[in-house]
Amino acid sequence: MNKIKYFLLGAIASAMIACNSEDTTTPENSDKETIKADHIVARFNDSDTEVYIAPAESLEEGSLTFLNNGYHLNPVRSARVFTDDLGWVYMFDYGGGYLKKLAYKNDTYNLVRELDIAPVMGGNPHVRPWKINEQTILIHNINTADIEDEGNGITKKGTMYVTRVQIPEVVISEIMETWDVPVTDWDLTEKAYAYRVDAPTVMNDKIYYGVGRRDIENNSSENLTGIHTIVLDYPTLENPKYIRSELGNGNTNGYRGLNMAEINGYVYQANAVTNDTDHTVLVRLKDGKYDNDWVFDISAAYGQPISTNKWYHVGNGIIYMSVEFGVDSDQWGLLRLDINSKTVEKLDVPNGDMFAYQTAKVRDGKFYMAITPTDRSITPKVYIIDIASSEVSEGLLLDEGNIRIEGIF
Amino acid sequence: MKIKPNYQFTLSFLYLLIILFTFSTYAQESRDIEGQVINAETKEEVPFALVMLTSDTKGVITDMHGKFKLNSVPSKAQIKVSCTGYLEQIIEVPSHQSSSFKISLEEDLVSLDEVVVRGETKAQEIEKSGFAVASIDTKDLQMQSLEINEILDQTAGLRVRRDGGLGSSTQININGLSGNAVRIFIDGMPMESYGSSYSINSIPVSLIERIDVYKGVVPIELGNDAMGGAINVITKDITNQGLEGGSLNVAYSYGSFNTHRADVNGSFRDKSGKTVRLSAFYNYSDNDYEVWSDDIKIKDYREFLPDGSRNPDFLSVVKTGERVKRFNDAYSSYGAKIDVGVTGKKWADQLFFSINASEDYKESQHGARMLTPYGERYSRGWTVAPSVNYQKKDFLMKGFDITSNVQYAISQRATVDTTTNRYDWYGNPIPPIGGVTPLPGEGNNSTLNQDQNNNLIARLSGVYSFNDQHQIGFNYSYNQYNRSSDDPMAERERRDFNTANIVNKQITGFTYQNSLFNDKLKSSVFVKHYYNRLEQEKIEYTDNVLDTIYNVRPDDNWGYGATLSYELSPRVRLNASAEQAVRLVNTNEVFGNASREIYESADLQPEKSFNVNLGSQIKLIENSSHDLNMNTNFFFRDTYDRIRSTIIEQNDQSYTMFENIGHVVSKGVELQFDYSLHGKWNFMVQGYYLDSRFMEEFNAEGVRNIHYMAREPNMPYLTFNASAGRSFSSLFNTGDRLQVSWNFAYIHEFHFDWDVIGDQNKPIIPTQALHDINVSYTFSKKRATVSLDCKNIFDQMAFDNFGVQKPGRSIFGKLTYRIN
Repeated sequence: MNKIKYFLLGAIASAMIACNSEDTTTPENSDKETIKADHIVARFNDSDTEVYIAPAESLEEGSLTFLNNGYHLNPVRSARVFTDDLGWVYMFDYGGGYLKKLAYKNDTYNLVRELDIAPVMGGNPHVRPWKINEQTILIHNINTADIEDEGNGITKKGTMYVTRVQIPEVVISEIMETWDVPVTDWDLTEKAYAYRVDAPTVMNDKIYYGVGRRDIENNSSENLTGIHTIVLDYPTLENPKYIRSELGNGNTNGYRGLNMAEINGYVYQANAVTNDTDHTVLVRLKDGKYDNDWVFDISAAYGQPISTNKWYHVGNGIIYMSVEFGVDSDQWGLLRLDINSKTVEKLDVPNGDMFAYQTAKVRDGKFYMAITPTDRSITPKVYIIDIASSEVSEGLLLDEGNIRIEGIF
Repeated sequence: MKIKPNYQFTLSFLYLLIILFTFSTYAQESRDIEGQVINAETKEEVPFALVMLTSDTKGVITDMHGKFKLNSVPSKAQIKVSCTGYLEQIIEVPSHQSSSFKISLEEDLVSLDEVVVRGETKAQEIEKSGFAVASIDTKDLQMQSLEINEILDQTAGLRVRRDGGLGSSTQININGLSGNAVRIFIDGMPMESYGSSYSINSIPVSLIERIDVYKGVVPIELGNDAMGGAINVITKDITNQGLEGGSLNVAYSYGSFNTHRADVNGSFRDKSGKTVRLSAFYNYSDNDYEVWSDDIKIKDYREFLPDGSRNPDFLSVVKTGERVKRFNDAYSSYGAKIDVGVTGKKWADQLFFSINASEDYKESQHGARMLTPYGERYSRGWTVAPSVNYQKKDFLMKGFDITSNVQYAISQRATVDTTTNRYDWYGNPIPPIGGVTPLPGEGNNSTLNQDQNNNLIARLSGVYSFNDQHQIGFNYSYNQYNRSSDDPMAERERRDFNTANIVNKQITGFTYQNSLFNDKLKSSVFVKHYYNRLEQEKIEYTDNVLDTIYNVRPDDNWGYGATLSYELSPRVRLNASAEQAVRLVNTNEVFGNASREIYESADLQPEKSFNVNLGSQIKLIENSSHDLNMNTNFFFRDTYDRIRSTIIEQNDQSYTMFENIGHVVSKGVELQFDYSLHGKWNFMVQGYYLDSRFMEEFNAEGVRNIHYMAREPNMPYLTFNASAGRSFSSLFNTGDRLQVSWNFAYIHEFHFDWDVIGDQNKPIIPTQALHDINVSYTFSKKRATVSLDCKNIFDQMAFDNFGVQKPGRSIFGKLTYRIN
């Protein structure tokens, strides 16, 4: 009988506790101050929606775990992260369509502002963000729809949207007039269409967008020819142009990271090859046009098939490029390119899967990148490369297991 | 296939349980008096007799040998000994205790007769079958304004998780398994064969005799791949409703959110056994209840300020957690069923032709979370399902009973989402934003998708009784399901996908049952064979030419199990059951479905689970004024190839893909006490705890899973329910009845994602404590009942699923009228 009594008492007690535990916190966050820190972002269990951010006290030493540690970015589909010099953390909720601003202090992240970007992107929450500079995050996309085109059968109509968001305030400052991507001979010939823009780079009064193309029938970018860019006036987001270079084949939008950069008065751009015969090259643009007299054939210089979707300019025309050693090999490493001498050298870091890795950090002559080695006997960690000497050292230790670092921010 | 049930664990679990049972009966303090209760005439030991001091309320129950120990007994105390079937005895405690202290009880033939006359309800009988089953007698629930889902939600070990108000999608969780692992049946016919416009909530409660909830182990008569359990809704047997004449039952309820629910059912039978039954229902709700969770974000849609400058808050969130009313969530459904047939013929005990037709309309307020409100999206569906049912006892030979049903259902569902309008949470269209063309469709893609389904299901089951003790049975079910979809709005390459999905499912089961020692020991063994042939036709490009691709995947699986039920005494029954069960895969999971953005997963394996249930039903006290029952159930599940959806990237597009995540082990316990006092007060308290852990140490790539042994996410694991009721008879008039009851539900918070990763901003379904109150009054002639239900009386924020709020406080009134 006693047992029953206790059970009843327990039930009543828990009922009372439950009644008192009503959420009394206000949605308004009290802590709106932020401090500058290094943040590590990780994706758990290869699930794009389970993305966590945690501060790293030092990138050089110690260890960091996401076990019972870290702020869940909790995106609807996937998370894109940026930070600025003031210490704010920006997260674009891909799929939810919100640009969110977080304050960071005392190991705690606080949401301080949310901007719903989808209404100015044709109502589409599946759009892409990129932080251009300390004042600007751009949100951009091409929405596509089928159209019946007499003589050409069914083709795609692409509509491009760009919105400029001013940071750190997170305020919409410019909206591009919706632009229909023109039908070009090269798209008609290959039955292809421009389906994505990303990796924008501003130089002078122009902005250059890398372009991803796909064929209509297979929804695949394989074996399409040429390198493409969409150029707009900046900051007015007017006067769009869709241009092409024949110096290589492959998409130029990169993937969740930098694939274009301004170096000494030119915008440099790499192509993502889809087979091992095509060459990975660097080409360059100026005044809204390709410089057809300059090309750096990286594959030829390296001597083996490679492909890329991301690279980092570490200064003085030196580029660290994430490359996959053979298309679909999932074996990625880092190459050091010198655009002045057009030379290539492999950096001494272990191979890992860098496909979806978002960003590395360049600071005080050093390059910091988190690598999860393919060889699982090596603990994932931050690798530190001395830019002057190319010497590699090991820094902050990271979680082993089914957690993948997306970047250092 | 790595099916390696941990038998050692099962055995030790069983052993522990036995110890626990024996221990609890011996566990009283060992001081003072000891004794034994025996039958005065036969000298047999009397187990489970209640021995208590007349001066105290403390008592003990004799063990299997009739022995008991009482502590702290004062001298010259009197003890009272009672047991069903025996005359109560009061005796003086002997001054010097001797080991041979025996109390003889005389059999009480009169009260024994009483027990026999009272008999047991079918629901009680079901619970004695050895299966872990809760059988809900709906008789007392019929006057309440409850949906079946709400009735089920008050059952131990069962959680009904809803996405909102009336008509919203529900997911039933039985002891930690849900989705396709739990199947719902109506009179043994799978619910899905009735089409999506006919839900479990469409069945009027007044038409229901009882609901059997099988936890884990499922009998062969329910021919489907119900690995996690099954719910069988038993409608009233027409043949039991009097020999001749008619009856009519009408119910109507109205309440919060403009909710109307009406149902009528009537039957008529003539002398020759010709019977007609008609039932119809109508449900409508605006579902415009208020929501105020943090997902409700109020934005500023003014692009420019009055002075012509840009509004710095344009599209930014200016308020969160604002109380807003849902505005595009109305639901209506209506339908009718007619049964015409004969009963009591030489060639058929029952032969019925039936037709069931229903239609529904459902608006859609938002997607998977309440992030963005939709203002126009809706879906509409209808089903027509003719069927034949045949029953015959002593078919061809004595002792051979057969039942057969055949049903053919045609159903259609269309989703409409083409608008270029967008809405804010106040239900106002968002003013057009300069220069930007919105895409049509409020969901991810605009759609006019139409699914056309044809479903044939045929069932034949037979039972042959050798004698009263031994029975063999078989059940065969054949199911042919065909779905074709078309969406004129979809992009062309999507539209060309998925022209047909065909499933052929055949499930065969054999069972042997026996009932020994005067029905004290009941046991059964069974074996099931699952045949599942999936077929999909889709149009794809091969070498740049359109072609239809046929995908076929047949699957064969075996399952088997056993049940055991032992009546230790009229007051104590122990149940044990075990099953190796299978949850089959479906076409979308295996072949993908482009219009739903599901990627193919050709190697997807069926989920397999080894389930063990151990339970007991004990009448702790049973006398003229008190009645206390205890029900316990321990369960263990060893699940392999658990199916889970994941998101993958292919050609820079994201798709849902189903995968086998591997090994999950679940253990749990349910405990329920029911107490009634003088037949007027009723109290119930129940608790449920589930411990479900992910047991796969390495993933498919050989990488260590850091969530190894973590609690399975998105699964309620600690719940309590309590209720108290008081009934008053002949209050205003002779024969009337007033009932007042209170129900309380506690659901402990649980994580939506794995709980071991991260510690801030984790999506959590918060702890909830919800109270409901019901008052009902039945008029003296028992024809009319009025009732008032108040749900969630403290207006708590209620959630079953992450980010989707359920209604706050709501009130419903209901009137039921019966003519016999």
